[in-house]
Amino acid sequence: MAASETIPVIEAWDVRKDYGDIHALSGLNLRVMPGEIYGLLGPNGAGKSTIIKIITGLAEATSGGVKVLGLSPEDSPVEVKSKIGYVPETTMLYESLSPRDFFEFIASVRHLDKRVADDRVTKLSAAFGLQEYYDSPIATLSMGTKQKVTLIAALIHEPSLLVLDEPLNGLDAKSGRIFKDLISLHAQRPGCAVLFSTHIMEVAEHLCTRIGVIYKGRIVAEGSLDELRSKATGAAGPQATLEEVFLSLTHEQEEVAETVKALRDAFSPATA
Amino acid sequence: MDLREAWRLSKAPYVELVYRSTMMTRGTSGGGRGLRSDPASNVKAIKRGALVSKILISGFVGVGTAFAFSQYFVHKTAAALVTGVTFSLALSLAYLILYSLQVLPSFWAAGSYAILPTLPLEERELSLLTIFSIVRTFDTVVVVAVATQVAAVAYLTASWPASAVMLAASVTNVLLGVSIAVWLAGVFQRNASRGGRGRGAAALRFVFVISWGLAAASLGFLFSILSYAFPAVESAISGALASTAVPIILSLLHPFSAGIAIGSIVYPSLGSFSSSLRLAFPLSLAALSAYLLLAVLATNRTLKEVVGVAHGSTAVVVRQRATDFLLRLRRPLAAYLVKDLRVASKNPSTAFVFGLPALETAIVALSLKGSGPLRASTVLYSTALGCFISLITVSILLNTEGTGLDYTLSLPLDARIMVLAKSVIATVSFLTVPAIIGALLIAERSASGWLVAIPLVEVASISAASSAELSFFIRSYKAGGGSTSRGIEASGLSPVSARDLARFATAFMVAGSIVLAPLGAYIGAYFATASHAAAVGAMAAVSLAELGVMQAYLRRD
Repeated sequence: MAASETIPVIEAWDVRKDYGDIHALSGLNLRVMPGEIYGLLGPNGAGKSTIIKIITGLAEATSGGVKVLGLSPEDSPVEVKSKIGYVPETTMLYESLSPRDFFEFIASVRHLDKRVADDRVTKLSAAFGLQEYYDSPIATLSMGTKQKVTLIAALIHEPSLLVLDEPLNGLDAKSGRIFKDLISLHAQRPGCAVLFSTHIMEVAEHLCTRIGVIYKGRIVAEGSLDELRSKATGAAGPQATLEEVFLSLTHEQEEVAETVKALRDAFSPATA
Repeated sequence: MDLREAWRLSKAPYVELVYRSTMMTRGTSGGGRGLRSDPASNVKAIKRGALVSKILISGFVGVGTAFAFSQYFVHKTAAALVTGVTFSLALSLAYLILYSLQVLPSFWAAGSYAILPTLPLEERELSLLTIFSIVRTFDTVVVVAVATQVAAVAYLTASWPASAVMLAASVTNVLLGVSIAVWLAGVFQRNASRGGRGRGAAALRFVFVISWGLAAASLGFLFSILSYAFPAVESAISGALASTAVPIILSLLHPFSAGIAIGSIVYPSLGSFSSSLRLAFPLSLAALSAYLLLAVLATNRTLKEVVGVAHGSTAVVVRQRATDFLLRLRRPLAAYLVKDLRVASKNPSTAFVFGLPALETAIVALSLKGSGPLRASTVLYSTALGCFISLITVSILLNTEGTGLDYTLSLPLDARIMVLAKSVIATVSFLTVPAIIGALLIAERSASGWLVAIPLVEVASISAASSAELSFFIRSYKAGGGSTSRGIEASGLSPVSARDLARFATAFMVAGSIVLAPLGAYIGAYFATASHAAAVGAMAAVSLAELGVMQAYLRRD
């Protein structure tokens, strides 16, 4: 077994992150091995984006530690970032640049060979249908097209680790399918892995090799869908969908039922 | 919906317009919960900023009017009155247009009004809400401009006819100003949404950037330019009034026509100075009437366009299909520099950077020209002035990061590259100063070539100072618990935030001390040795030492 296959691509232990009085992460542990597509599921505000920012070197943990391919993002930020392809939750791009200007900037900063960069960008841009938008300011693009630009920018250097925060936001069906296939192919490359957060249970269910449920700043359950089913209690049985398992693990099933009931009560008299 | 209700409700699209424009020109971070750059704080800061900006501009217009009439207040001559009227109108027109560069860029994108047509509103109500949102943008500035100008003429001339003409001229002026402002916002939108990589498109963008940069650059420095230019313009107007043909030409041009008309009303004897001045009075009244008519027509057209924007009938995006996907790669420093220039060039707020060399040229040339033959003290003063203007570039370039900063920080890019790229731009903008001083020395055939060495040696100091200013920002964000590993908040510099203002002031003081130290060394060495050569040597030693220390610091940090 090659050394790259044994070193975890991501290793996080007892990670805590405080924003003033708010505890965004409270002792999160996470390990992603090569070949894995690790899905991070959690309700809004559970800490998904925070751990992703810490892994990508965009934020520092209050305590605990993170290593990416054996390197600390705090101590070796440039080395770690050179191995990561990152798609942020919100498209934070230079809106006045065109996709071409943006890719030129990204490829230059990543020291890519021109021939390689041209080849990859040409193939990816054609696959995502960017011809119409390639020289238009990013500000004028739709949300989905902006997302395609971010995805290409994350893939342009063939990173060892793809970190994707809600990557399918705004993508049309065709582009979503292409991207999901790209993710699968990426994870099959030696020493590579994918970490992505999503709210789309169906995607997580079909794409991820392992799923971590994050709740109140820590991983409360982890494993394949079958393993999660066995850990879930209440309504989630052996045939439960990931959504039911998720709601059970995050103790939100009863809350959902009560909320729906309250809404039904509120609307029924008016519609009657 | 009555007018009062429409006015009250128009606050929502107005706030949205200001918010979107600020986001377009400054950019803010998406941020996470608990971060200082959270969206709620951004909205509050932007609303507060819009109000402060409107009050400040209104204040500038009021003070500018007083400034324009100050000469007439002291010396009651016809030329001073003509100059006062002309200058006050030009000043308020310039401020009105320049203010709109900040608040209107998002107008034509129509996003601020997108929700209105989906609501159960009648056509008239929709139009009223849109028009009132634009009126809210300029209300205080327009009222202050008209009120102070009319009050100044009424108080200083005690002439009802003159005051009435001033009222007409002032209203014409603001109507033209608002129409030009809305049109310019359209120019911005078309430029911002225009794609293409051909030479024609690049050339058009370049012309746009230079014009916009120069216009934006004028805003903050209008007073300093005025203080240099006012005597020259006054003497030019006095000379023009005494000439034979020029008064006729001026009487046809806005805002000179208003100045000549009011001057002729208050000083009927003005017409007896020459036949052209006699003819200039009726011509100026005719021109003023024509301008009033033009302003009404322009306002009518603008209102139609404003309503059209709310209906979404004017938002057009033209795209060009790319024929290839090839990239032009550079070294990281060059790539970052090109990125900064590209981003800055497409943003009306930061296009300022491109206007700075021209502004430096104007200010330094005027300050040197007004001080007689070139002496070391004049060159030292002009160099210091140029240095401080270049240091402003740094804070402007921080704003170019906007929403893209978080993404950039996820790239394997050393913070030193960011500092160096911005420092190079600030240093290049300063190079105009030695060029001007060199040119003036050649023109004067000055014997002391050492004088041109002063700004040349200062180039190293400017480079060190701009790097220090940027590093200070980065460190202060780190100390403040910034949201990123590099500690820089993506919101850039907000001119309305007290925290940012304090940081800006401190960083500016640090950088200011660095640029002043070599100049101080020059003065000290000259007093000790009475030799320009020794003084330049001392200056060079300090300047190069600063650069060396700063480079070592950047490598270590």
